[in-house]
Amino acid sequence: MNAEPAELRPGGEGPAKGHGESEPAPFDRLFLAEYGRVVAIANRVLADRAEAEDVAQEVFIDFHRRHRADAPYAPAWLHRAAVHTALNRLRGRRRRERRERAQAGDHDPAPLDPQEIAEQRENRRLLRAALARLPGRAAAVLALRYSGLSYVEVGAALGVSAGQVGTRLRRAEQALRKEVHRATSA
Amino acid sequence: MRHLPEGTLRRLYDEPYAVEDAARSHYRSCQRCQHRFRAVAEDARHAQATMATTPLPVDAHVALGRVRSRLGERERPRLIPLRGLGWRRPALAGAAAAILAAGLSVTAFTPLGSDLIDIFQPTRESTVTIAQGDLTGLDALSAWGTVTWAARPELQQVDSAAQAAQVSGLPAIRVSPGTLPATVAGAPVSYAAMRQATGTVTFTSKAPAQLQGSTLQVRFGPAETVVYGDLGKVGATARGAGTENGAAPQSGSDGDASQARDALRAAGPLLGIVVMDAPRASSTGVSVAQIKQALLAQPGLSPSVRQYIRSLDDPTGNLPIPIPAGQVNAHSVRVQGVTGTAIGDNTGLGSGVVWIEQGKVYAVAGTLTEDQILAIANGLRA
Repeated sequence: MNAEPAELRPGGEGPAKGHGESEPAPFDRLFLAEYGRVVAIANRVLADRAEAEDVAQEVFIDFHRRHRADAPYAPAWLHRAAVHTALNRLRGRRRRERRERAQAGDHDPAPLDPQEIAEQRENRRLLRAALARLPGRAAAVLALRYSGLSYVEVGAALGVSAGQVGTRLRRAEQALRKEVHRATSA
Repeated sequence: MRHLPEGTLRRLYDEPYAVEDAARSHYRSCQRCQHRFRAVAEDARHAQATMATTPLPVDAHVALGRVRSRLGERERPRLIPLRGLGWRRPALAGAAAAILAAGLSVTAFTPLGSDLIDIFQPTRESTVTIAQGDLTGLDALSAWGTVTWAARPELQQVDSAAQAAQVSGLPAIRVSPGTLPATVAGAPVSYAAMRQATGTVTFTSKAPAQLQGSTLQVRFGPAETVVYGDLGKVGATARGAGTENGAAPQSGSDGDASQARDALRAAGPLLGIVVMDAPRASSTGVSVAQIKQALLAQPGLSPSVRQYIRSLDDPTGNLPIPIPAGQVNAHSVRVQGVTGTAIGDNTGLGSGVVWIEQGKVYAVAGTLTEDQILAIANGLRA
């Protein structure tokens, strides 16, 4: 019974596309393997599902046009592109304002308490504002790590060793705390 | 040793076993580093709370369709032949294989004509411990029969639970979102379904006399699956660990099993849910008792395989689930108001639960704790 999920493994007898009966298209394999994480990274920055999926698809299309899908660096490239594209969007003032209006949150189960709704919106606004103010590489390491990437994966995405990820993450978390504190005490 | 750098303390918080032994050893004996670690951990917890977002279920297949369309490429149907499951292996061609496959795989047998009698239609599951390598003794049985397929078992990858239900004819699998741990809820989701497949095992002159000329008619499925997890990573790590096609390591060594576990661990969170019609078998005359008798008369069978064969029962009996000796434990649990079997990896890597209810077999398994698996299983609607 447990065999079926294994059959879905892109590396196994996966979807037949483009390159013969039993050989799945490398781009499809890459997409199915990484799409969830790329969306998660973008969503960690943007807190907007629709925009995060838009970023993810843009990143994959860009990758498809530039690189071979079976390139060994593909996942790291996608992760890096996702976080930078999302951060660029965050920093666009018009987009940010529109997003914050939309953050009434149709994808979240809305709490019934109006006070709670207001606090939730405010917390999100503060975090996006804090992320936008952080230096790019600090925001990037936070978004990547808190999207569930391991230190090795974060290091690959940022082009640094896994050992350096801890240092960057530590500094980024200190900076984030200061930014949030500054925003809440202002 | 000098005091630990901040970066090392930070990694100690997230990935303690990735930090060198010497550093961990220093930490255990250094109050100053322990004090600094507390500040690091406090900032990490603050960041974690601040950065938290709602888990975001995404449908990668639908998104792939959109991207393909934007790239101007044509989608093809995604059919997944069930090779690698053992269906094409000669060793599974005989009567023993037909029955063992019922326990090992997704199977369903139903009568095809008035001359057929149900010989296998289990209503409860049980476990039988089988050591790796024990099944190799069954290879000689491959000459007993030949298998022909009227409709081959074929998994079809689809874009949603609703589409899986459409293909399989089963109710759509609905997972209660509140029961999914965040690590799984945020993972990519894959769906697949299988229509009912029909095959016939015909016993040849090489089979024991009491079986010769008889046929078993078998139906597999329908079935549907939902998988949460990074399947690309699972594939890559499984290949790296020498577990191509998802099969258990052929050599059966502890080293291979350990490699497979490491690979699975590295692949990240994984959850699979399978719903299928319960196995049933029909025959033109031969009974389960006769097949068991013929199988048990073969020389060279290991005690575990003998126990497995004995555990096969007449209609409405057991669906024996083979579990690897020494690596897995199993016990009874209550799930969805019935008794099921929980199966756990002794290393804590993962667990699963299997139960049979109203003619359907349900399985939920993944790299989660038993409590998490049971919560998901109890919240399941299908």
